[in-house]
Amino acid sequence: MSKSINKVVEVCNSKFEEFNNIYSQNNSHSSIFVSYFGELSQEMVNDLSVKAEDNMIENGDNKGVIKRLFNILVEGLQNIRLHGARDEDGNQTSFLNIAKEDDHYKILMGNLILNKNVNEIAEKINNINSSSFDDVKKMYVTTLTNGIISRKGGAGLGFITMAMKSKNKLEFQFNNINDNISCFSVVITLNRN
Amino acid sequence: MPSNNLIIQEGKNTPKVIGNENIGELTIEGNSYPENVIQFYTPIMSWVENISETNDEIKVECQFYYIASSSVIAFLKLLQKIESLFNTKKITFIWKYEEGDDDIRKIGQDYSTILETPIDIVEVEEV
Repeated sequence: MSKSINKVVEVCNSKFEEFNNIYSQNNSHSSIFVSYFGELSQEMVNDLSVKAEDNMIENGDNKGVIKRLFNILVEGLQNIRLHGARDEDGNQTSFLNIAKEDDHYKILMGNLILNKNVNEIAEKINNINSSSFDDVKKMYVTTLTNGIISRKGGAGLGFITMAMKSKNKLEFQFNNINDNISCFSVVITLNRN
Repeated sequence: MPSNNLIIQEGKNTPKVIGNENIGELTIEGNSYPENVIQFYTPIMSWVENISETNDEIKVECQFYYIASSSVIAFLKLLQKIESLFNTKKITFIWKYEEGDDDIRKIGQDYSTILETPIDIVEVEEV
């Protein structure tokens, strides 16, 4: 493992562990019930989403909340597979953590991003966060009407959909790894009622 | 003449699709969140194109339980394709949603603001 790969794992893992520490079992009101660190296959996207769904059914959540979390996960994880950058060894390092609290869920998703794309993503999410729910809905309908599907299969609706489903701000952060890449992470809050 | 029916079995993240050429009917039911929506929806687009050569009318009836945003766009494109191939008066779109599922109902409403053809949005009992 080269020195720069170590740095990739170190930076991503620190974000991952930071979340683990906040929502670990030390806190009796929260628990982490889905956790993943590594490269995501399409199969993993399906399996993790279904695992989360099964867990929520056990937790007694209502159908609407379960569907919204499922929605957020699929959008976020497909985003990672479609857009997540790779390190110099070709690894698409990414991670996911879902914590259950008494009245809400916290979902952490992270991936690598090219530094040259950081501003564009930050601008996109800031724009969503600073808009009212109605304006986000308008953005959604406009993007839908334009109807552009990229070669990779993305439709530009991932973050907009996640914001609409969670009805909360998307808390995001970039942690620099080297001259080329950073770790991008986003925490989404979903109320349970 | 060989029949030109379309049958796609339900997959892990793709819906069951049945296209019946004789009666000009396309039914879609299930989840839709494949990673590659173009790959999944292209054969359905082609089927619609083919039957437009022999059929004047088409009825599309669908019920999604969960649909990802890329599929929402891909499905809209399918409906727009149908509008470009058939006379609006000869098209029937039926959008079903499970009782209480506002998210799916709203997608149907979004479609109706974008499309020319009216959409029949129908609530069905929870399974």
